[in-house]
Amino acid sequence: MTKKILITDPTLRDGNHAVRHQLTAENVAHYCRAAEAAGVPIVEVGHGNGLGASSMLIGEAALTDMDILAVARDNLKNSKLGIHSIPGFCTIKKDLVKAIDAGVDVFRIASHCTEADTTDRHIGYIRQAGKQVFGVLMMSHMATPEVLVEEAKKMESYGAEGLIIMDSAGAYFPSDVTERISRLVDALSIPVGFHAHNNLGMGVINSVTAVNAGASMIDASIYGFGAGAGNAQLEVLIAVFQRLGIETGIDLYKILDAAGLAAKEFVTTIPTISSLSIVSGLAGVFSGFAKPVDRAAKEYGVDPRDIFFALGKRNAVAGQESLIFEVAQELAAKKAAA
Amino acid sequence: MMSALSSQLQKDCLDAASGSGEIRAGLAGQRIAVTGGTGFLGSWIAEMVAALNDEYKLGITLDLYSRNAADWVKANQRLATRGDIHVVTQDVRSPFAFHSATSYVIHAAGIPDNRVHASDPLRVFQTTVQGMAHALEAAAQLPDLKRLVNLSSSLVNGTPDRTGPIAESDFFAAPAGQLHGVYRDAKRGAESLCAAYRSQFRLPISTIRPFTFVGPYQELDRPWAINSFMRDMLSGSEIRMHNDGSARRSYLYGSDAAWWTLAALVKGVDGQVYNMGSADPVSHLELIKLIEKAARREAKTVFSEAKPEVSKPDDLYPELSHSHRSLGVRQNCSLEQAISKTYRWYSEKSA
Repeated sequence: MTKKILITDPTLRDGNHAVRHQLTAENVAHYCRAAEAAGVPIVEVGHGNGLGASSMLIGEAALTDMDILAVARDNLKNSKLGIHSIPGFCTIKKDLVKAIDAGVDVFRIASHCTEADTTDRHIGYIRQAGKQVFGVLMMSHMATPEVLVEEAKKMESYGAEGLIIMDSAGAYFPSDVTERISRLVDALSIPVGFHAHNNLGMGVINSVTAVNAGASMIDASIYGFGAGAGNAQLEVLIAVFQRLGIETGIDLYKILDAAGLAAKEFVTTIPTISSLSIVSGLAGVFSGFAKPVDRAAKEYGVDPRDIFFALGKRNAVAGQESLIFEVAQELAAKKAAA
Repeated sequence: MMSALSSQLQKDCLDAASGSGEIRAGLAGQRIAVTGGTGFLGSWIAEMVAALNDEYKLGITLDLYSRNAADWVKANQRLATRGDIHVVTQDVRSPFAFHSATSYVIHAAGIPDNRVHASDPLRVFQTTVQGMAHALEAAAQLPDLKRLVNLSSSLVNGTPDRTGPIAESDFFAAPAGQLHGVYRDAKRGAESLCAAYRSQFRLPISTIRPFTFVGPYQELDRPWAINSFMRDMLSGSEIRMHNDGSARRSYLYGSDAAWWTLAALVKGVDGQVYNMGSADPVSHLELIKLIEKAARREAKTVFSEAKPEVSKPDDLYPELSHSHRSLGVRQNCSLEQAISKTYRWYSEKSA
């Protein structure tokens, strides 16, 4: 029997990190149409940190949540419209209710890997509203496999219809992926998914490894357009899955066309594994910190690699962008005192 | 004047209790305490006692002990304002006493909601094990205790690795110390406590292991398949299946569950365990068909794009010959009737 995998394409969400959340309505409309034509099952859009996250602290998006959802909705017919949502940034009344009204099909409610409790009300609310909801555990390398299973079971019990672990820092080796995915598949009765980052060059192989370990949902973005070193590269992954006889429902030629369109219109800088990305992966720090770390390093005259390792020691997580400058200040003070 | 819905519930209770004069006679004039008294089963026992007292003048007094008594009283004025039903605010995690005239105790306090098992396992453990210990201590002080029935769980048998019905004597290996097994492990601990009190203090204790229920008083947001399917049907949302729909469960209607529990008070034997549920399993797909029939329209059933290629065998339903034989009980309300009644109740409540 042919194995089937459900692909979610977060190009227009995770990729927003890569352009400081400045994707335009035209970018969104054109890419949605291209993804739709290629048969991408779920297209995720929004601010890089998800619904309700646009702010001075972590970056103001060019488009409001409602604007980006409206444009995407207008340009997706068969492909489902998905959003990423972290309780805290996102509230039920202010954001989720409006997103439901805006026609979002798939809600991916996320938390740090040890804080699934924060998703209880949001997942429950979406289920009550009859919409599809998945749970997402971010920075999953920061929890042991045992803790990941416990947190995943929480999300399942709240009503999540699928569970995705994110390798937000691109820190996993294939053996890490196999251990975590196989344990989750054994423990859960809902589908398990994997979202890769490419800091150590493992994005595609880790995604394939996840499927071999039992994952049935995979995230991948065009040109790997995502935070830091980017995600697993979608068009590469589709080609690899095709070679492996794994069905995704995505047309290879048309997704290659989508890549061409994206390169022309908004993937102005194709994600590469920069020295900072490597350090981010080694330090186990969120890939999306690359740009603010670079800024802080310049402002305080310190080595950005030192900032990453210092953030790693502090177990910094997404949303703690202010910590970057605190760490940079401390490093600068030490440097001055030396 | 009773509403049509309330009259229906009373009729359901009298139907379930019909034909067993022995049990009714055993309940006459007794004072019954129910911990977890405002949950699904406690609410149905309140309906049953009200119906029996009204119809047969049995003179039963019912004390419902509950952590959330005020909410239940507000929502169930018809029952809460009766002279024969008393609602007492009590968290079983703290020591307490039953009314000294109590002759029967039903310990139904527990947290079957698996969302709480995952998020607050400590509360689940404390409510189940400490709650059991406190109920047993309180029962041990009663001068005229005739029986304590412990509402355990079908989960104590472990997770079946085969299809087919589960008898009281069946058990399946389950690893210890797993967080998501806290409810099962705590319920096993509670059964052990009952065995200790029965042996050391000669308390008259029987155990009921409930399987799956259906009926009014179940909240639609509870994370069980039948609730989710009914909720999606009521809201017109699609019903999403995450497997092939072959998992099978059986469902006992609330009035039958209440009657079986009262029967165990009167006819239960010390140390005996009785399964409580329906012997007729249906798959999730068959369940949806029954809900469609009750709703008189087709469901929008959608299979998850990422469902497993092959679903694991998943059966959970009881073998009931011991309960039938020993307690003299039978399923009175068929699943089709139960779903029809329940769907109507939810429809009118949400209207």
